[in-house]
Amino acid sequence: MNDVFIAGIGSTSFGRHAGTPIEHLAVSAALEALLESTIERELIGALYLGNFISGPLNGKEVLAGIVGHRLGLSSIACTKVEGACASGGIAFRHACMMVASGQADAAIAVGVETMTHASTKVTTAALNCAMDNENDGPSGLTFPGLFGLAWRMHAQRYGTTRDQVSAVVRKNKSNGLKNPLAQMGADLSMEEISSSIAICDPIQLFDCCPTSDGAAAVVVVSKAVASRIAKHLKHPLVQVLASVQTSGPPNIGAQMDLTSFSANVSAATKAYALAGVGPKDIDLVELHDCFSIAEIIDCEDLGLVPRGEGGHWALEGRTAVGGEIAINPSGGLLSKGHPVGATGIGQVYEVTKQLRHDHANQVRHARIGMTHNLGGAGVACTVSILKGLEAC
Amino acid sequence: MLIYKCQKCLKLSAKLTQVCSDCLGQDFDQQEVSDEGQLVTWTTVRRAPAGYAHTAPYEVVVVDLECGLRVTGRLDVQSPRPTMFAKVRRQPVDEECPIFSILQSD
Repeated sequence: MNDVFIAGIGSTSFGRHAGTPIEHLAVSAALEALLESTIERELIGALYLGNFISGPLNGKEVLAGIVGHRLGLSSIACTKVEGACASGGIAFRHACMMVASGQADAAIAVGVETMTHASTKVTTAALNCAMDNENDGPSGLTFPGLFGLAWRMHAQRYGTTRDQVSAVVRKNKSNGLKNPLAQMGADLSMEEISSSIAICDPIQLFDCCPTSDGAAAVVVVSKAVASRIAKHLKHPLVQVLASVQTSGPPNIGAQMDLTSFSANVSAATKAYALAGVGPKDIDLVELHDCFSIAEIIDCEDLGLVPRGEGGHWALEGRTAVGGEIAINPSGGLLSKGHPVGATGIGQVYEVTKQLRHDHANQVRHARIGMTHNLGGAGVACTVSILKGLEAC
Repeated sequence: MLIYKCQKCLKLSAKLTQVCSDCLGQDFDQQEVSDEGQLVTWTTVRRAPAGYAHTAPYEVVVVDLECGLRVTGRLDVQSPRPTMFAKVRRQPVDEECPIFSILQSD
């Protein structure tokens, strides 16, 4: 496989973009990434668009083709990919594969979702499509409920406490305050977190990510293109050491351990092997904290924190910026927001900024970063490992 | 309760599927198994999806049946409060979603 480099990134803020059509957000992010990359538009050989529910929420499909057309990329392959909350990560991986396989000199991945205009009822129904509704749906389970189930099991096995989980919320909300793109950074006390409204016990309001509007985009290029444009770029290149996608069981009954997602573990194992690095080499990670307890499960699955110790590490500040492994310095989904299809590419945006040493909540000396995007009840997972380069 | 067993590799499944995901067998036998099992975890859903709101709050449970299958279901509204690893029994009602009741709390 050929080397792949990130040449340009773009992102709207995550939050409320009332009245802005979904394709406008996608085009804004894509244009920013394209212009930043300095490459000629004609070099782009493919566009992948990550989106989950533009059909039910916006009444719009063929979104990839619409965005490609608006950017004057209409003759190339423009493809929408969907893997629920992992849609963005999947789009990024596909763009990387086009360049890695030599089929294109450059490719663009765009992720977008607009959700805040819809009622909670409509949004919840659409999001619940990511469940295996033949097996888990009839019980009336929701995604907060799924993570409530996982939390109770994690607590039973490892003694994970409300305070430990609250520490994740407090850290991510606080990180979000420093991120200009974040939807809801906040300085919350442990008491405010633990006394918020009950949603699906033990999940409470502040344990849940918000619904959001937003878009993000990344332009990836081959080594030949990277070498040519390096001198024009205003920022260092970032190399994609690995971008991996795996699947896990779609339903709870097929998961014999709810304190772990098998797709997480297999994606991380493959990504480390491909990248030739190990967990100790990772300086920061943007991972899929759709719910507070998910961050604890994910960081253990990714091998970044010993099994069962995710809660302890959060409470002891070891996962904060300046700690042993910075987890979600952007604020994560909990605080930056979760415009579903945009999230995975937003993570690549954040890690790239960190590796360029140009982030508002900078992890000092960050050299290698990871992104982790999880869809459904663990049915789809992507993990990417990125490395900052001084010069190409 | 009735479950399905693959004729080729004997894998059990709670629902009839077209194909066995272990061996690709396409023939299944029905098998009667014990209604009892152990509660693995649960959550109280207070914000319910459309179609379920009128029954909220309710407990969604994950149960390991004695036959080894893991299923999701609901806790009977009359049931005692759940505790970890409590013994449960499926209620003899013909619902799409299995309804369980706590037998004893440890």
